[in-house]
Amino acid sequence: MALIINLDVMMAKRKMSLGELSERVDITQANLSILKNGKARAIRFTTLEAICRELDCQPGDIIEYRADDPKNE
Amino acid sequence: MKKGNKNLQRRILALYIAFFAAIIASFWFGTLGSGLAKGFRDGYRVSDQIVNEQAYGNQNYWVGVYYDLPSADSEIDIELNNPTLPDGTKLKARINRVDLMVENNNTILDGSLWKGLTTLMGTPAIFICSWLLVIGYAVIVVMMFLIIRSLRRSIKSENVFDRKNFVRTRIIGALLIVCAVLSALINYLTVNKAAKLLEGSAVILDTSFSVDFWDVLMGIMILLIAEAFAIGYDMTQEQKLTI
Repeated sequence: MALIINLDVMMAKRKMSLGELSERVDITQANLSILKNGKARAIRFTTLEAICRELDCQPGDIIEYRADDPKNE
Repeated sequence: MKKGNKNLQRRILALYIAFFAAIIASFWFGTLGSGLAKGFRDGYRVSDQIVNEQAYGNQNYWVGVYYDLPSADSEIDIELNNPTLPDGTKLKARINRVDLMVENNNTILDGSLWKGLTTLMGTPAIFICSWLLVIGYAVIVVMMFLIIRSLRRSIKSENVFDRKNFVRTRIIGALLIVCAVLSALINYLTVNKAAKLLEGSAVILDTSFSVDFWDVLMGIMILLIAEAFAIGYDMTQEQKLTI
Protein backbone atom coordinates (compact mmCIF):
# COMPACT_ATOMS: atom_id res chain seq x y z
CA MET A 1 0.00 0.00 0.00
CA ALA A 2 1.17 3.54 -0.73
CA LEU A 3 0.46 4.76 2.82
CA ILE A 4 3.19 3.94 5.33
CA ILE A 5 2.42 4.04 9.06
CA ASN A 6 5.39 5.30 11.09
CA LEU A 7 3.74 4.89 14.47
CA ASP A 8 6.49 2.57 15.75
CA VAL A 9 9.17 5.15 14.77
CA MET A 10 7.38 7.94 16.66
CA MET A 11 6.80 5.66 19.66
CA ALA A 12 10.51 4.78 19.73
CA LYS A 13 11.45 8.50 19.46
CA ARG A 14 9.17 9.31 22.42
CA LYS A 15 10.28 6.11 24.23
CA MET A 16 6.68 5.08 24.70
CA SER A 17 5.46 1.47 24.77
CA LEU A 18 2.39 0.17 22.93
CA GLY A 19 0.64 -0.52 26.24
CA GLU A 20 1.27 2.97 27.57
CA LEU A 21 0.10 4.67 24.36
CA SER A 22 -3.02 2.51 24.17
CA GLU A 23 -3.90 3.49 27.75
CA ARG A 24 -3.35 7.20 27.06
CA VAL A 25 -5.29 7.15 23.76
CA ASP A 26 -7.96 4.90 25.24
CA ILE A 27 -8.02 2.22 22.55
CA THR A 28 -7.17 -1.44 22.92
CA GLN A 29 -3.62 -2.71 22.41
CA ALA A 30 -4.94 -5.07 19.72
CA ASN A 31 -6.39 -2.17 17.71
CA LEU A 32 -3.28 -0.05 18.16
CA SER A 33 -1.20 -3.00 17.00
CA ILE A 34 -3.39 -3.30 13.84
CA LEU A 35 -2.70 0.38 13.15
CA LYS A 36 1.04 0.06 13.87
CA ASN A 37 1.42 -2.93 11.54
CA GLY A 38 -0.35 -1.16 8.67
CA LYS A 39 -3.30 -3.60 8.70
CA ALA A 40 -5.94 -0.93 9.42
CA ARG A 41 -8.27 0.11 6.59
CA ALA A 42 -9.23 3.49 8.09
CA ILE A 43 -8.45 5.75 11.05
CA ARG A 44 -10.89 8.05 12.86
CA PHE A 45 -9.97 11.71 13.23
CA THR A 46 -10.52 11.39 17.00
CA THR A 47 -8.00 8.52 17.20
CA LEU A 48 -5.46 10.38 15.05
CA GLU A 49 -5.93 13.53 17.15
CA ALA A 50 -5.39 11.57 20.40
CA ILE A 51 -2.25 9.86 19.07
CA CYS A 52 -0.80 13.18 17.84
CA ARG A 53 -1.57 14.77 21.22
CA GLU A 54 0.10 11.98 23.21
CA LEU A 55 3.13 11.67 20.93
CA ASP A 56 3.37 15.43 20.42
CA CYS A 57 3.64 15.16 16.64
CA GLN A 58 1.81 15.97 13.38
CA PRO A 59 -0.39 13.49 11.42
CA GLY A 60 2.26 13.53 8.69
CA ASP A 61 4.81 12.14 11.18
CA ILE A 62 2.62 9.03 11.60
CA ILE A 63 1.20 8.60 8.10
CA GLU A 64 3.45 8.96 5.09
CA TYR A 65 2.56 8.67 1.41
CA ARG A 66 5.05 6.80 -0.73
CA ALA A 67 4.11 6.10 -4.36
CA ASP A 68 4.06 2.41 -5.23
CA ASP A 69 6.84 1.21 -7.52
CA PRO A 70 5.06 0.17 -10.75
CA LYS A 71 7.69 -2.59 -11.25
CA ASN A 72 6.59 -4.22 -7.99
CA GLU A 73 2.88 -4.16 -8.87
CA MET B 1 -27.87 -9.80 25.03
CA LYS B 2 -29.78 -7.01 23.28
CA LYS B 3 -33.58 -7.22 22.87
CA GLY B 4 -33.29 -7.18 19.06
CA ASN B 5 -30.86 -10.10 19.25
CA LYS B 6 -33.27 -12.05 21.43
CA ASN B 7 -36.01 -11.63 18.84
CA LEU B 8 -33.59 -12.65 16.10
CA GLN B 9 -32.58 -15.72 18.14
CA ARG B 10 -36.24 -16.68 18.49
CA ARG B 11 -36.82 -16.30 14.76
CA ILE B 12 -33.74 -18.43 13.98
CA LEU B 13 -34.93 -21.05 16.49
CA ALA B 14 -38.34 -21.11 14.77
CA LEU B 15 -36.56 -21.59 11.41
CA TYR B 16 -34.44 -24.33 12.96
CA ILE B 17 -37.54 -26.20 14.13
CA ALA B 18 -39.34 -25.57 10.81
CA PHE B 19 -36.31 -26.92 8.91
CA PHE B 20 -36.40 -30.26 10.74
CA ALA B 21 -40.19 -30.40 10.60
CA ALA B 22 -40.04 -29.88 6.81
CA ILE B 23 -37.39 -32.60 6.43
CA ILE B 24 -39.44 -35.07 8.49
CA ALA B 25 -42.68 -34.11 6.66
CA SER B 26 -41.10 -34.41 3.21
CA PHE B 27 -39.59 -37.77 4.17
CA TRP B 28 -42.86 -39.01 5.61
CA PHE B 29 -45.26 -37.78 2.92
CA GLY B 30 -42.92 -37.67 -0.09
CA THR B 31 -40.74 -40.72 0.41
CA LEU B 32 -42.40 -42.99 2.96
CA GLY B 33 -45.92 -41.93 2.07
CA SER B 34 -45.91 -42.53 -1.66
CA GLY B 35 -42.51 -43.13 -3.28
CA LEU B 36 -41.09 -45.63 -0.82
CA ALA B 37 -44.42 -47.41 -0.36
CA LYS B 38 -44.78 -47.75 -4.15
CA GLY B 39 -41.13 -48.80 -4.49
CA PHE B 40 -41.51 -51.32 -1.68
CA ARG B 41 -44.69 -52.75 -3.20
CA ASP B 42 -43.16 -53.02 -6.68
CA GLY B 43 -39.84 -54.27 -5.33
CA TYR B 44 -41.66 -56.99 -3.39
CA ARG B 45 -43.63 -58.00 -6.49
CA VAL B 46 -40.53 -58.02 -8.73
CA SER B 47 -38.38 -59.95 -6.26
CA ASP B 48 -41.21 -62.45 -5.84
CA GLN B 49 -41.32 -62.83 -9.62
CA ILE B 50 -37.52 -63.35 -9.78
CA VAL B 51 -37.61 -65.95 -6.98
CA ASN B 52 -40.41 -67.81 -8.79
CA GLU B 53 -38.51 -67.80 -12.09
CA GLN B 54 -35.35 -69.01 -10.37
CA ALA B 55 -37.31 -71.74 -8.64
CA TYR B 56 -38.26 -72.97 -12.12
CA GLY B 57 -34.56 -73.07 -13.08
CA ASN B 58 -34.34 -69.75 -14.92
CA GLN B 59 -31.23 -68.56 -13.07
CA ASN B 60 -30.48 -65.57 -15.34
CA TYR B 61 -33.90 -63.92 -15.12
CA TRP B 62 -34.05 -60.27 -14.01
CA VAL B 63 -36.50 -57.38 -14.07
CA GLY B 64 -35.84 -53.65 -14.26
CA VAL B 65 -38.35 -50.82 -13.87
CA TYR B 66 -38.36 -47.32 -15.40
CA TYR B 67 -40.49 -45.17 -13.11
CA ASP B 68 -42.67 -42.20 -13.95
CA LEU B 69 -41.77 -41.62 -17.60
CA PRO B 70 -43.44 -38.55 -19.19
CA SER B 71 -45.73 -39.41 -22.09
CA ALA B 72 -45.73 -36.86 -24.93
CA ASP B 73 -48.67 -37.80 -27.07
CA SER B 74 -50.62 -40.83 -26.08
CA GLU B 75 -52.33 -42.87 -28.73
CA ILE B 76 -53.89 -45.03 -26.10
CA ASP B 77 -56.74 -43.02 -24.67
CA ILE B 78 -58.93 -45.34 -22.67
CA GLU B 79 -62.69 -45.02 -22.87
CA LEU B 80 -64.41 -45.58 -19.56
CA ASN B 81 -67.99 -46.53 -18.90
CA ASN B 82 -70.02 -45.11 -16.08
CA PRO B 83 -73.70 -46.05 -16.26
CA THR B 84 -74.67 -43.39 -13.71
CA LEU B 85 -73.67 -40.56 -16.08
CA PRO B 86 -76.31 -38.96 -18.36
CA ASP B 87 -76.66 -40.25 -21.93
CA GLY B 88 -74.16 -38.86 -24.43
CA THR B 89 -71.47 -38.30 -21.79
CA LYS B 90 -68.14 -39.96 -22.58
CA LEU B 91 -65.18 -40.48 -20.25
CA LYS B 92 -61.68 -40.77 -21.67
CA ALA B 93 -58.55 -41.40 -19.59
CA ARG B 94 -55.32 -40.15 -21.09
CA ILE B 95 -51.99 -41.64 -19.99
CA ASN B 96 -49.53 -38.92 -19.03
CA ARG B 97 -47.01 -40.85 -16.93
CA VAL B 98 -45.80 -44.39 -17.62
CA ASP B 99 -44.01 -47.03 -15.52
CA LEU B 100 -42.14 -49.41 -17.80
CA MET B 101 -41.05 -52.87 -16.66
CA VAL B 102 -38.23 -54.61 -18.53
CA GLU B 103 -37.94 -58.38 -18.17
CA ASN B 104 -35.00 -60.33 -19.51
CA ASN B 105 -33.85 -63.93 -19.38
CA ASN B 106 -30.29 -62.63 -19.63
CA THR B 107 -29.14 -65.30 -22.06
CA ILE B 108 -27.28 -62.78 -24.26
CA LEU B 109 -25.93 -60.79 -21.34
CA ASP B 110 -23.75 -63.62 -19.91
CA GLY B 111 -25.53 -63.50 -16.54
CA SER B 112 -23.97 -60.14 -15.67
CA LEU B 113 -26.45 -57.90 -13.84
CA TRP B 114 -24.34 -54.79 -14.52
CA LYS B 115 -24.22 -55.61 -18.22
CA GLY B 116 -27.98 -56.17 -18.18
CA LEU B 117 -28.65 -52.91 -16.38
CA THR B 118 -26.42 -50.85 -18.65
CA THR B 119 -27.66 -52.48 -21.85
CA LEU B 120 -31.40 -52.36 -21.25
CA MET B 121 -31.86 -49.96 -18.33
CA GLY B 122 -29.46 -47.16 -19.15
CA THR B 123 -25.85 -46.22 -19.52
CA PRO B 124 -23.17 -45.99 -16.79
CA ALA B 125 -23.58 -42.18 -17.09
CA ILE B 126 -27.16 -42.45 -15.76
CA PHE B 127 -26.03 -44.37 -12.68
CA ILE B 128 -23.12 -41.98 -12.03
CA CYS B 129 -25.38 -38.91 -12.47
CA SER B 130 -28.02 -40.45 -10.17
CA TRP B 131 -25.45 -40.93 -7.42
CA LEU B 132 -24.08 -37.42 -7.93
CA LEU B 133 -27.64 -36.07 -7.65
CA VAL B 134 -28.26 -37.93 -4.38
CA ILE B 135 -24.94 -36.66 -3.00
CA GLY B 136 -25.74 -33.11 -4.20
CA TYR B 137 -29.11 -32.99 -2.42
CA ALA B 138 -27.59 -34.57 0.73
CA VAL B 139 -24.89 -31.85 0.77
CA ILE B 140 -27.60 -29.17 0.39
CA VAL B 141 -29.51 -30.50 3.42
CA VAL B 142 -26.31 -30.74 5.51
CA MET B 143 -25.24 -27.21 4.48
CA MET B 144 -28.68 -25.82 5.42
CA PHE B 145 -28.41 -27.47 8.83
CA LEU B 146 -24.86 -26.08 9.30
CA ILE B 147 -25.92 -22.55 8.25
CA ILE B 148 -28.85 -22.40 10.67
CA ARG B 149 -26.66 -23.76 13.50
CA SER B 150 -23.85 -21.37 12.67
CA LEU B 151 -26.31 -18.41 12.45
CA ARG B 152 -27.59 -19.19 15.94
CA ARG B 153 -24.03 -19.32 17.27
CA SER B 154 -22.88 -16.20 15.47
CA ILE B 155 -25.87 -14.19 16.75
CA LYS B 156 -24.97 -15.28 20.29
CA SER B 157 -21.39 -14.10 19.75
CA GLU B 158 -22.71 -10.96 17.96
CA ASN B 159 -20.84 -11.78 14.76
CA VAL B 160 -23.61 -12.54 12.24
CA PHE B 161 -21.64 -11.81 9.07
CA ASP B 162 -19.32 -14.77 9.36
CA ARG B 163 -17.32 -15.84 6.31
CA LYS B 164 -18.48 -19.46 6.72
CA ASN B 165 -22.15 -18.41 6.46
CA PHE B 166 -21.92 -16.80 3.06
CA VAL B 167 -19.57 -19.45 1.66
CA ARG B 168 -22.09 -22.16 2.63
CA THR B 169 -24.99 -20.13 1.22
CA ARG B 170 -23.11 -19.81 -2.07
CA ILE B 171 -22.52 -23.60 -2.10
CA ILE B 172 -26.28 -24.24 -1.58
CA GLY B 173 -27.21 -21.88 -4.44
CA ALA B 174 -24.67 -23.38 -6.82
CA LEU B 175 -25.63 -26.96 -5.85
CA LEU B 176 -29.34 -26.25 -6.41
CA ILE B 177 -28.60 -25.14 -9.97
CA VAL B 178 -26.23 -28.09 -10.59
CA CYS B 179 -28.80 -30.56 -9.17
CA ALA B 180 -31.59 -29.12 -11.35
CA VAL B 181 -29.46 -29.56 -14.48
CA LEU B 182 -28.25 -33.01 -13.36
CA SER B 183 -31.81 -34.13 -12.66
CA ALA B 184 -32.89 -32.95 -16.13
CA LEU B 185 -29.91 -34.79 -17.66
CA ILE B 186 -30.81 -38.04 -15.86
CA ASN B 187 -34.43 -37.73 -16.99
CA TYR B 188 -33.31 -37.00 -20.54
CA LEU B 189 -30.96 -40.03 -20.67
CA THR B 190 -33.47 -42.36 -19.00
CA VAL B 191 -36.43 -41.30 -21.13
CA ASN B 192 -34.38 -41.60 -24.34
CA LYS B 193 -33.25 -45.09 -23.36
CA ALA B 194 -36.83 -46.10 -22.58
CA ALA B 195 -38.09 -44.44 -25.79
CA LYS B 196 -35.78 -46.70 -27.82
CA LEU B 197 -37.30 -49.74 -26.10
CA LEU B 198 -40.80 -48.43 -26.88
CA GLU B 199 -40.12 -47.68 -30.56
CA GLY B 200 -43.01 -48.82 -32.71
CA SER B 201 -45.41 -49.10 -29.80
CA ALA B 202 -48.46 -46.95 -29.04
CA VAL B 203 -46.70 -45.16 -26.17
CA ILE B 204 -44.75 -42.08 -27.24
CA LEU B 205 -42.50 -40.56 -24.60
CA ASP B 206 -41.56 -36.92 -24.20
CA THR B 207 -37.82 -37.04 -24.94
CA SER B 208 -37.14 -33.30 -24.73
CA PHE B 209 -34.51 -31.90 -22.36
CA SER B 210 -36.49 -29.96 -19.77
CA VAL B 211 -34.90 -28.29 -16.76
CA ASP B 212 -36.93 -27.43 -13.65
CA PHE B 213 -36.48 -23.65 -13.87
CA TRP B 214 -38.09 -23.13 -10.47
CA ASP B 215 -35.04 -24.85 -8.85
CA VAL B 216 -32.69 -22.77 -11.03
CA LEU B 217 -34.48 -19.56 -9.98
CA MET B 218 -34.28 -20.61 -6.33
CA GLY B 219 -30.56 -21.26 -6.79
CA ILE B 220 -30.04 -17.80 -8.32
CA MET B 221 -32.03 -16.19 -5.47
CA ILE B 222 -29.89 -18.00 -2.89
CA LEU B 223 -26.72 -16.89 -4.71
CA LEU B 224 -28.00 -13.29 -4.53
CA ILE B 225 -28.64 -13.67 -0.79
CA ALA B 226 -25.10 -15.05 -0.42
CA GLU B 227 -23.75 -11.94 -2.17
CA ALA B 228 -25.71 -9.74 0.28
CA PHE B 229 -24.06 -11.73 3.10
CA ALA B 230 -20.66 -11.19 1.45
CA ILE B 231 -21.25 -7.41 1.33
CA GLY B 232 -22.27 -7.51 5.01
CA TYR B 233 -19.07 -9.44 5.81
CA ASP B 234 -16.94 -6.85 3.95
CA MET B 235 -18.65 -3.99 5.81
CA THR B 236 -18.07 -5.72 9.16
CA GLN B 237 -14.39 -6.20 8.31
CA GLU B 238 -14.17 -2.53 7.29
CA GLN B 239 -15.71 -1.50 10.59
CA LYS B 240 -13.45 -3.83 12.56
CA LEU B 241 -10.33 -2.46 10.87
CA THR B 242 -11.30 1.18 11.42
CA ILE B 243 -9.24 2.29 14.39
